Amino acid sequence: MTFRGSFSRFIFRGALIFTLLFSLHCQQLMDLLDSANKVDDTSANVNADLDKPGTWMTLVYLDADNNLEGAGVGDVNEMLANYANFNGNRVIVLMDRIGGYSSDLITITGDGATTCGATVNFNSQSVAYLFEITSSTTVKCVATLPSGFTQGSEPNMGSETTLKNFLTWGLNEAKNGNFDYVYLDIWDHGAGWGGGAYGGNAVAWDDTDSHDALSITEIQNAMKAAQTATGKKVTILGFDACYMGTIENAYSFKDLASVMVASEEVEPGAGWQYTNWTPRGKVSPRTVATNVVTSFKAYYSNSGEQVTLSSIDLSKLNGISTALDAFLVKLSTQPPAAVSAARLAAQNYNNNMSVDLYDFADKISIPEAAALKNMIKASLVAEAHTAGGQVDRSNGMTVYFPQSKNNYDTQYDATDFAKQTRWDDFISGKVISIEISSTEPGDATCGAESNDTAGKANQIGTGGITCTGYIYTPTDVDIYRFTGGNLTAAGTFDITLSNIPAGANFDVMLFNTDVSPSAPVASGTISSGNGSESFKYSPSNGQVTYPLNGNFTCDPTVSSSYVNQGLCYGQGMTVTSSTNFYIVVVGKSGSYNQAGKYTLTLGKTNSVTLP
Amino acid sequence: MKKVFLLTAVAFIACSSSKPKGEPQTVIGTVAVNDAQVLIEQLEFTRSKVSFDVTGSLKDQVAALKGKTITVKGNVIKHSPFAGSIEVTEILK
Repeated sequence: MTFRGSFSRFIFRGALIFTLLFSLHCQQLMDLLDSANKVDDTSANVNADLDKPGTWMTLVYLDADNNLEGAGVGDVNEMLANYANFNGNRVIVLMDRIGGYSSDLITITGDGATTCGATVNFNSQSVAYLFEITSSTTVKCVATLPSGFTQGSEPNMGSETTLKNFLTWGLNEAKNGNFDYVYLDIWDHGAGWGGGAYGGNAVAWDDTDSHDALSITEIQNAMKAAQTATGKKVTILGFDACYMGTIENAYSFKDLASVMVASEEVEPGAGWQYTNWTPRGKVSPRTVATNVVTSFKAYYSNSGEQVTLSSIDLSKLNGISTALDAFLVKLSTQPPAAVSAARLAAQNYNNNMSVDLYDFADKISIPEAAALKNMIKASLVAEAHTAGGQVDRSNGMTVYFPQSKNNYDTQYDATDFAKQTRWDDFISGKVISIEISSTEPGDATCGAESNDTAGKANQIGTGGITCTGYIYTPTDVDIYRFTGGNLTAAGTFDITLSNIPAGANFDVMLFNTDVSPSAPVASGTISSGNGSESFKYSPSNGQVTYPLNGNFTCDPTVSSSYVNQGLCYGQGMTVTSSTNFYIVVVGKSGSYNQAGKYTLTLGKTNSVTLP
Repeated sequence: MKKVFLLTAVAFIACSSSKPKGEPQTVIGTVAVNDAQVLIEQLEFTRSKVSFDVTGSLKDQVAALKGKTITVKGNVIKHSPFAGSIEVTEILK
């Protein structure tokens, strides 16, 4: 029963109830808005109706203060080429150049006042301007500026503050101009998760400001602050950058925008085709989110480039994460060799540090995989990729999945996605959901370890253990671990669950990781109908040799188990330990009806000496 | 006089040793020359373009290979995933 999983579900349920209670008021509000013929889907905390046409303000955070300067100028020219189709929509660009990489000129029409003065020839200057596309040939200097910014200055585009001020200003412009929707486009390099040499998840490097970049957390903070300050919400968040089409990123922004547009793979230098996607007249978010994807693919289809781009409905992310956790629980019962093979066969990206999540699930034949795939498909507003090669089996979003748990980047723990799902436990080689938190619901008393590291393992004393556990959902898994010490002679463990709530059925398994294969050495079903039930494991059955201090080799070809799966999904790693036992309690598949508290008792008989 | 010389020598060595030399690496990339720099670029037609600013005595020889894909040895200092410098010590091909 993961604390973070339980907590998220608690919050989710609370949010659901709140949403239901609040829906009547929302409906009244929407009726009022409709009566005024105003969409106002940028209102804070309201997801956009993706099919409702409206007017658009596009905000381009164009960080060309690096070696992509030339591509940045090219995209501004594409925006100019689309101007005739704007039909009242606005496209505003904050562009920071580096100077040196491109001398291509952008002519900025001045306002004759203090902000820009006369015409500005914007080329080969390591400065930034805020301008609006106001004709097919020139751009116009913006007079009223974001906080802290002056035209021709040198902002740090890798700074949260710069983005926050720009977005706050832009959302206010949208609010004051009665624009229905806002598209925030963050333009530059992107790394995505698992960048290996690319070093973590970030976007928008500014080479003249100590190569600073925007982390995902910084973007979240900037968007939250801007939303709070203006009461407006970004409709579409786009990353015209490499590798940003990750489920981790989508999850991070699920409450801050309605749609995320990003690429799973490297993007060509020219990036998106602004000539064909910047909103044309009153169009729906679905139309815009689709156009950016289809125009991107169309442009590169005959170029030999391998490209992929997707637009993700962020309101579906909670459903995907729930389906993913259910998938992981069942995945742990699959033969490790099959899981390993699926990982190796899945479409991979970013130096093989991530895979297409759908494609990975597609290679696991369990019902939960189908459910996960359906959720992913349902989240895609649009997805397109060129045929063949590195992107052939792209399905909209990647997930970080190093080939070895030893390559797991612990910074990943800090992502929202890792905090709310079991994916990090899976890829980092931990037994799924080894978390027994004292803060979990139901007054659980089975320890307070936050993770199953050796130093925090819940030690079971010589007298055994009696404690309270809590199963929270049908997909919840509790794992109790005791390590160290020796079994000095043959004996028997008794594991008893009692005080089981009505309607709850649990599967209970005992694993010993010092033997191979490490299928459950004992198992049984305990249900409320029995009130209390126990099963026994006798280490004298030949599966264990004494004094239990040998090495355990995780063989990917052995039969599956929670322990084996969690330790090394086919990596063949060696675990040096003695007497590592895991007791796994899981809601019984197909017959779980009730969350609730239970009492776990571990005792011993005969001459077994517990640590 | 000897003391002054000794201190100067120590200071020189200290300064020299504190200067980052970079990691010895072999780099393959395409030579680009712009207004201010001679660059060796990788993935040059992508949004993941990596640019190494060429320094050292072989800079002009590298610049003469503009547009060509070359292999060099040198000391690399990486500033970001997409930017760095290389003091070229040998042009391999």
